[in-house]
Amino acid sequence: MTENAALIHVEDLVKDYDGPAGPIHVLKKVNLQVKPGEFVGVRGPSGSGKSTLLNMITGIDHPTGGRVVVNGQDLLALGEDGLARWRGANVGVIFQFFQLLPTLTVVENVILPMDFARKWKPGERPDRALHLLEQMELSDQAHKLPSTLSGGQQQRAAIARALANDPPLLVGDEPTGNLDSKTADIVFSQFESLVKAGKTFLMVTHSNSLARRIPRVIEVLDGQLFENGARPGR
Amino acid sequence: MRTAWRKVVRDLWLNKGRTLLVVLSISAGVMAVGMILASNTLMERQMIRAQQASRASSIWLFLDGLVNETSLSGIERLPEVEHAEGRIGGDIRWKLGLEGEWQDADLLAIEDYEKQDLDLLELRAGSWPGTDTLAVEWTQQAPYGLPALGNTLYLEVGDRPRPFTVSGVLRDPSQAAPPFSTQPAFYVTRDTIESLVGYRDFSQLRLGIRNYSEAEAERVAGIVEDRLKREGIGVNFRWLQSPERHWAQDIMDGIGLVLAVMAVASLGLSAILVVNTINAIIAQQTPQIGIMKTVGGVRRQISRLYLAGVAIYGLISLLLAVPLGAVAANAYASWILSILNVPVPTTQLVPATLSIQIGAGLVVPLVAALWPILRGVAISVREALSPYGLGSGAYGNGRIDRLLARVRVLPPMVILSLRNTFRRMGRVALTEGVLITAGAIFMMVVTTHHSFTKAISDIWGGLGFDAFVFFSTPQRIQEVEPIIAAHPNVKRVEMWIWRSATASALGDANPDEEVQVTLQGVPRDGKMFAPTLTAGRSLQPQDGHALLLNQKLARDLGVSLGDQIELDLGEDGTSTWTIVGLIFDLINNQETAYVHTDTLNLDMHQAGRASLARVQAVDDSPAGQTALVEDLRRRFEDLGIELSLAQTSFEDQEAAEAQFSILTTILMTMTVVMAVVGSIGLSGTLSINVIERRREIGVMRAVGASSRDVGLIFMGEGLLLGVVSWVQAVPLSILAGRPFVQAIGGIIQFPGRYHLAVNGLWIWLGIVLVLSLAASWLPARRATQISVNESLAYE
Repeated sequence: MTENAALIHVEDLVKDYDGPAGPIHVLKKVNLQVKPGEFVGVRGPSGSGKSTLLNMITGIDHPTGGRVVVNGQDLLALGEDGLARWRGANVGVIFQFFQLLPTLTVVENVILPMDFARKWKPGERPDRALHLLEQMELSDQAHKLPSTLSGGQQQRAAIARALANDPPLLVGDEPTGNLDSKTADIVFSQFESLVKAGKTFLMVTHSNSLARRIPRVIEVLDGQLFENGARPGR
Repeated sequence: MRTAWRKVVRDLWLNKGRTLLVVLSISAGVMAVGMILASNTLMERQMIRAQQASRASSIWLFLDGLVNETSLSGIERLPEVEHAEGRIGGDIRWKLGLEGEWQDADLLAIEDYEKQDLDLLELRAGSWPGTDTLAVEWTQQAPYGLPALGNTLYLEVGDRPRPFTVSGVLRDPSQAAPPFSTQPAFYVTRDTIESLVGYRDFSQLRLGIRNYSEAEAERVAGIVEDRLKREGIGVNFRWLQSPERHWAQDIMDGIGLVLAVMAVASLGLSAILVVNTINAIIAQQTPQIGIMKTVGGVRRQISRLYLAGVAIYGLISLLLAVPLGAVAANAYASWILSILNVPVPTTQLVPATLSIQIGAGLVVPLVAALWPILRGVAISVREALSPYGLGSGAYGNGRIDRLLARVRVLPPMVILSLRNTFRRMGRVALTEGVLITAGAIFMMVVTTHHSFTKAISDIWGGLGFDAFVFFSTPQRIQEVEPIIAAHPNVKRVEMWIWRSATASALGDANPDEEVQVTLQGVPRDGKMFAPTLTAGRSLQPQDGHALLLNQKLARDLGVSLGDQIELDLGEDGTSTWTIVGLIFDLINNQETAYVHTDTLNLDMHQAGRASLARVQAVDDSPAGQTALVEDLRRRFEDLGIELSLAQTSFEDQEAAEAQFSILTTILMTMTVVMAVVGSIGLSGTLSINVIERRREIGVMRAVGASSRDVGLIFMGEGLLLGVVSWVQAVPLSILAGRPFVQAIGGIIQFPGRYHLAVNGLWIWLGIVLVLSLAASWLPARRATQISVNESLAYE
């Protein structure tokens, strides 16, 4: 697959951290390509580099070497503020622990990225937010604070927030990790619907049952990526 | 960004305790600035107005003799003199009821109360004095227990009490309330004063001149004194003042400057607290900052949110500080003005101060918060979103961490307090800085008070007497000394002489360089007098025309040890004296010189005379001194020897100390503001520590810590911070204490010597322990209310 055809293009990516006993090589020259509209799972044992890989793709962290091109943007060419702006418009991140701002209501949490990105007119933002919440079946929770919601409801609110600026790419770092299995199933179904609607979804998961439902699964082991037992090429 | 602004407002509202702490700390500093700047402006404005409204004279002459209307008219016709008025002064005794004790008072009369040109007496209630009626000064009515309008008091006429009704209450700009006056003044008509003291001519002159300058006033005073000399009238004392400027303005300006510096320091301390608090807010909200960056927020947008929060803190603090500052400014100004006998204005705002307060309340917190916010917002998303665990921050890497880690002999809970206290060194340093500053200033103010009080005590101790009596006219020593010595409570009596003169450096033909001096003649064989020498030596028995000069006069004349000065004794001619010593002395506005009595008597062409007896008592307690003075007064009354004044040493000393106490009170007020800011800072730091260590608290409780245990740990941290601040404040206060005392002394023209007040160090330790306990109580209580479940849940 060419770089231009891929939504995510990772080339010879290296990430090292400084540890007390010397550098820790978390990612060792990994390569990955993800097409638009793909649903990709990322699995691996603790400390294997899964979250680090996601952080590289979302621009939350910077690689030590290699290239990361997402939606045509070489992330290394952007500074901190550039990455923030780019992220607001191109990536929706869903966290394991929801990470809703505690002093904003659910609908305000969804409006917040729109305020930062200024992609929609101010008058349009509340309506869009409510529409997204309706899709997540959270209309009646819109004006409540996150602390009053259940885990599942908070995660669905976080998904609505991730969709606020209609990004092409959604990334979830164990988004069902803090939910019971029934709720996790409901939330996962939301992800499947989004992919069907044309979003690209990259998700880290520990759950075997959910992984079986993901069309494409990448294994991360000792800083290397494996797919179907082999290392993905360029 | 509209949604994000709601976060700002809600963060402030949902953390009311923290908001209150920040607002209070900003308010304290802004209020202090407003109070001092506004009160300085109010006082100066009012003092100038009062001075102008009273048509203040430029020259006061207290005469040795009396001037009649003809002479007064002649003086007024001098081309240099614009206005001349005479006043008649005398001494009288009074009592409230027939059974009461006689007390000393001044008696005053002017030519015509309805027609005044200078130093206007202002009738505030009732009517001007008439036959058998008198008026009292409004600032003296309450302190001296004078009767109300329409009521009666008794004046001593001969041996009998004569009733007078208080017909009026007036304001005399040349009078002041205690402690700047030591006895009340009663205002009567010329006819009345003649019936009471036996004369109706003028014993004081008040002169107004055109185009005032100090040099011009000196020149005109000299011309008038020469004219009076030719008429055989001497001048005991001369006072020059600007008609535009109140006599206390220079001192108030100096004190105002010191207070303004302290107020700005308070504001600086508040800013430090803002830095501390914003650091903590940013630390607490780091994950939220990470999320905002994840969803597209750039640094500029996020910084603006937090700066907006700080601006709101500033605005809320202004709502508190501006009215409080205005109230405090008006109250303080009213207090000082009433002491100085200046009419108190109605409560008012000072617009210029308002602008400064608004600027301080908004700009200072924003500037203080800028760096912590910019630094906090610059954190990378990865760092901001790292899972939050116990022991965030790298404890154990610093030198102090490692040093404290070696402390193992104490119980674990105490060790926990000890190590936790120094975990966040930046925050600790800022908090300690505030407490150390407040503590050092407190101890310096106490030392200043102690230094001045000691100086006063040394001066009075050096004078060596327990009581003194002033004779209305010089008396023969052989006649009066035995009378005094015969009293059973008299240990020793010495007969002195007082004389006014003008002094000039020898050979200096410039009359502008003459100064007024009060000469005090000390017995050659005297043993009481032990002056506070600042240079040279004391008088020796073999000395002739040797003189001890007050160091202030020496400075004014530009002379020093070994120089010669010329004394002009008026009609008694001039004489030359050699300065053998310089002294520090508060008597008569520091315009004193000491010589031998017999040498001075010779120059005055008299022998064996004294105007003053100084007495040492066997029982020198205040009661003993008071009884002695009363006995002597009665004795001399019986003998028909008139006294102008009889007073105890402790009354004299008390009055001097009371004047300096006002200064100490003023300085201490500002110190209290700083101590409050320090306490708020400490409480804030501990509150932040509790918030940051929620998970640790949860873990401690999970492993068995009771609420009491958790509370004690935080109280221990608070106490430790307080004690450590005291340990550092003590050497700082000692180092800075001497220059501070000298600076204050320079402002009030009182060169007191530095004496460390050791009790001040202990008093501050006590205060800081109490403040630390009070400041740590609420955070410690909050810590005990955190449940295991709540604290270990991911937020």
